[in-house]
Amino acid sequence: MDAQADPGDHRGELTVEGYASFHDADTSAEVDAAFRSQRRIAVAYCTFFLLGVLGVAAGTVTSSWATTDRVLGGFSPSFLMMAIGLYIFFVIIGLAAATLANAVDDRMMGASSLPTARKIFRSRLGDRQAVPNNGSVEQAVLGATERPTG
Amino acid sequence: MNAAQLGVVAVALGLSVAVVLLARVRGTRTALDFQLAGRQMGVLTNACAICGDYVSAASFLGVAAAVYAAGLDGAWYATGFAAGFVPVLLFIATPLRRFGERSIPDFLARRFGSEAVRLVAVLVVELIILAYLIPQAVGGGLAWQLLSGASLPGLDPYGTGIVASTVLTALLVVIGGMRGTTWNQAIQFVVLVAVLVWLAAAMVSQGFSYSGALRDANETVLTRPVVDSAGAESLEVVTSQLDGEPALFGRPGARYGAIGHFALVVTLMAGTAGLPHVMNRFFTSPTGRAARMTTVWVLAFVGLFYTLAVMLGTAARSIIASKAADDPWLAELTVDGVLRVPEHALLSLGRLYGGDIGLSVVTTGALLAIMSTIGGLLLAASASWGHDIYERYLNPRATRAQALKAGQVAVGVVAVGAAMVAVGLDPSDVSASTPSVVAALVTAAFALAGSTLTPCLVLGIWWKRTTATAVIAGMVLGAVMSVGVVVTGLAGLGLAGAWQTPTIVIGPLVSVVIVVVSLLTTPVAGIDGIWVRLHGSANDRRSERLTRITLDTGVP
Repeated sequence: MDAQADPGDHRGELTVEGYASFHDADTSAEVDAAFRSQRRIAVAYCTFFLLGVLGVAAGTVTSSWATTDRVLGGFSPSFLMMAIGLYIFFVIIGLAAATLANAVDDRMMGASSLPTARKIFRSRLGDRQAVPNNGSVEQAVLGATERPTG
Repeated sequence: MNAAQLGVVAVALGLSVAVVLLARVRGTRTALDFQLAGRQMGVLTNACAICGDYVSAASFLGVAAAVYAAGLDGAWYATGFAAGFVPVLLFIATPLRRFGERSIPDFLARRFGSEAVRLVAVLVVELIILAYLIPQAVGGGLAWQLLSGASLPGLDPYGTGIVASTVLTALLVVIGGMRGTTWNQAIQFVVLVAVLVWLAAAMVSQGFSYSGALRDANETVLTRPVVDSAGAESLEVVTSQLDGEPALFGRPGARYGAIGHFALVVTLMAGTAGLPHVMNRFFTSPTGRAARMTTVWVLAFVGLFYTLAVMLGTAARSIIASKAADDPWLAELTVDGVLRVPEHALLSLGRLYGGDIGLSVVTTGALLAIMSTIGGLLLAASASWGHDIYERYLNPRATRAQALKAGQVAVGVVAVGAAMVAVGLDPSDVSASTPSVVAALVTAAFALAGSTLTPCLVLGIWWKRTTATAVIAGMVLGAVMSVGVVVTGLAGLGLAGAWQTPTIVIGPLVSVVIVVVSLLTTPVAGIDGIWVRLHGSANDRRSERLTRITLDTGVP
């Protein structure tokens, strides 16, 4: 694991870089829980994916209907899937799995970092800025950090 | 080659050189810059670059050739090549990037805490790179042979194409490093898609109907040119592997039996996740989430590419036979309307619909496809030799300049080695047993990757109990078995057809060996920390937060 940097108050005030590198780490327990969820997602989508691809292969070699019937002009069901359909299927599976995996990352990891962030934030800014209770640390820091001009 | 043809090739190659020089302005100061572009490639750029890296001669020339020669059976190449990125997305891309490191051997060595794993992985990676480089070089030779016929002293046109494409790419990689190569691969992929779109549009504008062509081709009996003992050429009817009847374009069996279909698809799907030059690209993403979303874009882009490639292969089957009698140029390439070399299918369509310029455009596309893949392979070789061997073992106190130089020297050595092997290889030696020589040779590289690195990566990432001894056993077993099957197959001594796609057997066997040996050996120490690094998202969050704040405040 990367060593966590000091908040980086090198110039006597909280810097953007310092804030960004505050102590934000995953605990082993939350990673383990997220990992199990991610593994379930990966295995489930992979099973669905294999059923689709190998199903088309099985249909192609075992069913004459799949290669002799015409469903769209000269396209047989098998040729239509191999020429166009399976690529759309792959994108849909990929997009759905990635969206779900991102959501799992967001929901299951990082929660333990917020109290730590608040603690560092309070120690750095003292009473100059109220620490938000609803998790909007970024907004508070942005409000307290002097914005550059020009 | 006339002036106009020369102009098309020169413009495309000039663009590649310009991109590399522009990238060089931004600087390649360290080995990390050279090998990983400072880990700062954006999602769309990296997705295009991965596609450029992946879409090789096998895809650009080989897929259309396979469809042309074997109809429905050939289309499985396109499906398998595209499908390979789904397992990459589900199992590999995000954890690989989150763990970091610079190369696949580096990743495996750190994951298992073993330098022995690193050394075995370097050997396996180099084997895969060599197996993948040779067909690219063969494709370069075939494309140049058809376009120009010009040759360097001591070489025929085929050999000249090999040497020219390999040497030019090696020079561009040495000059541009990963950043220059990434931009080149991204632009080259866009050019490749543009070439296919242009060709499809040109055909449609002149009355081509995909559905109509397929209706005509579906019941066409497939034939292939053969040469008898007296040297006379004739057409031989292809026999279906399924029922022994004459093979038809729209039916399965032209090349593969029932098991062969599954074996091909499994080999291509599993092999993608073990290709070092493609997997290395995920290290250049800024975060694990970016790597994940990059793969989604890759799926969309390769889907578009292979959709067009299958269409053009079908078109070639329908059009070339009808035009060959009236076109002397095409007649020279065909026997009774059937191409002697299926890889000429796309090039012939370019000539038919765009004249000499059209042929030059498609040939240039082929050369760009070859160069972008060779570039990625050479960079992967550079990372494993330069970082994993030179910096680790030969000169642990290497300066940044020395490490950079070592990577560049590795590029040159690997390029020369691959070119020499390719020049000595006669594509006609294996053409009788494959729908496309180039696609078949690349498939052998997929078989090696899918039988060695893929099981190690998947189990290493998703099963804590996997041990160093087990992955070494798995890599050695997979390499010995797949190289043995492929080499005996190429020599005509192996199981008919199976030499191309042995992963369906070797991959599961290697996985079982890894599981059994893991259970019999000591677990990796400190696995919880490794797991946090593999599957935790803290670094992603920090990187994303810094980006968001930087954008919000304007602080660079």
